[in-house]
Amino acid sequence: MSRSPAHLAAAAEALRALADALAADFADLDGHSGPVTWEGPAAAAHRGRAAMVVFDARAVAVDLRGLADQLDQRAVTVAAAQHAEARRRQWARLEVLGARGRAEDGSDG
Amino acid sequence: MADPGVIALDPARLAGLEDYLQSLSDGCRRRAGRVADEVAGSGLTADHSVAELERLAAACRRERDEVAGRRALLAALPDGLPLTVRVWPSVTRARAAGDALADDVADALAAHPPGWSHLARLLAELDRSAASGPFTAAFFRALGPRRSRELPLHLERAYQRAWTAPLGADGRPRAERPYPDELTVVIAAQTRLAAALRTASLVEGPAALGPTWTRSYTGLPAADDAIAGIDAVVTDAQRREVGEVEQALRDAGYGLTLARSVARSVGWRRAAAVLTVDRGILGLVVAPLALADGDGLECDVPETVLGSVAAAMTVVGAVASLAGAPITVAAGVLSGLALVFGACRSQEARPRETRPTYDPSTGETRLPSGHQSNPHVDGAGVPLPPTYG
Repeated sequence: MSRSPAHLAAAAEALRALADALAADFADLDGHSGPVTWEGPAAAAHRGRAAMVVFDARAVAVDLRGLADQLDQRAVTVAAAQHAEARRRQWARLEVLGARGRAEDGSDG
Repeated sequence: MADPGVIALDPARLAGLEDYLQSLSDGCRRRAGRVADEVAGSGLTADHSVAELERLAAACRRERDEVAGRRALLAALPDGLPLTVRVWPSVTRARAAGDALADDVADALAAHPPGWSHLARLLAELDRSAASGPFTAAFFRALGPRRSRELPLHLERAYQRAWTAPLGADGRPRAERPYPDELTVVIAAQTRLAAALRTASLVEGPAALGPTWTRSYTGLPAADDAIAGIDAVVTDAQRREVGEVEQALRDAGYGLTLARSVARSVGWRRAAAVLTVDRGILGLVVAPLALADGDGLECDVPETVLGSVAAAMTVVGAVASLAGAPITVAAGVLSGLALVFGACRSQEARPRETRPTYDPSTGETRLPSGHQSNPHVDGAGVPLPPTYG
């Protein structure tokens, strides 16, 4: 199923929103698991793993934004291709009309 | 029992962390589906992002299970863990919280009699913020000098009442508990209170424990000329003693105002300080306070303190005198405070309780020792001879 440039742009925006929401969700993990909540070796180990999870979540968010950029790019490409196709068709139609006109002129002459 | 690997926690926040991790896991899984939907049909592939999101969801889920497992271990511990240290984002909020806690403590003290479990819970809250100068200063200011001075004593008495009550908080007869172990609870609470006061005494500026507060705390006259009048009649030895005590308290980390006030009070024989092993002020014994109930017995406060702590010395063997001043160190024993107050207060001031008392703050009903539910005393409250075996 091919998709229109508007659809692709909307999907790109949706991906960006998803990336923002993901980053925002994980941004508070430090606050939730910090020393105010608990202390001790288990807590420290948990915080170490949580920091890695936060890092991974940021990486995923960057990944999603890259994907959104690709979708935008794809939307531009598809729009350009559709535009070129439309122009080609218009020229073809003009060609047909011109040929028809010339043929009519010839029959008259 | 497995070691939970946790030394302090805030149970409510830990439960919140568990829920938060669960929501993160759910969010990642949901977003993985949405990303796949959004990209589908665009000619691009989102497999990597989707796989990463699934992996994140699994990691969050694993962490949630880990936290839940720790929580189960912690719940199985016989004694609760200490609460974590609270960090206040601003001075204003710290002060407001200190005021609020002081109000709660004042309410608890106004209950007759104050319940130990309630007081201990409030003091645990104080302990969480004991490192915050603004919080502790606001707390002691709002609590007032007199109640601040009496609080260690109330703690001790509340604990003794809770200990001697025939029925536990659940209304059933209490199991036997080893007394010396329990005693450390009171000492620890008093020591933490002393540490909080030390922090509060270091605060400077308008929010500090001012001269008026400290004089009232130590039982000194409020006016400067009255102090000058006393200062004129004290001997050189006493004046030297004031200086030494003040220096010792400064070395122990107390602020100048409080250290000077306590030193004068001690040097002029107006009060005696009972100190912890690290020279925190566990409590002050002030003559007017001892006689506060009206028809109290007259007693020489410093002599009584020395006498009572000397009696405690036979238990502990660790009493240090500080530069010859009537400052004593109560180490790991039922602090001298209750003994001193017991000596200074007339028995008539404490009427015998005959009816159950209900503490609305804790929901505990305390029965007098002569109650029929107490198998260790007869109907008049007189202890029965001990039975062995």
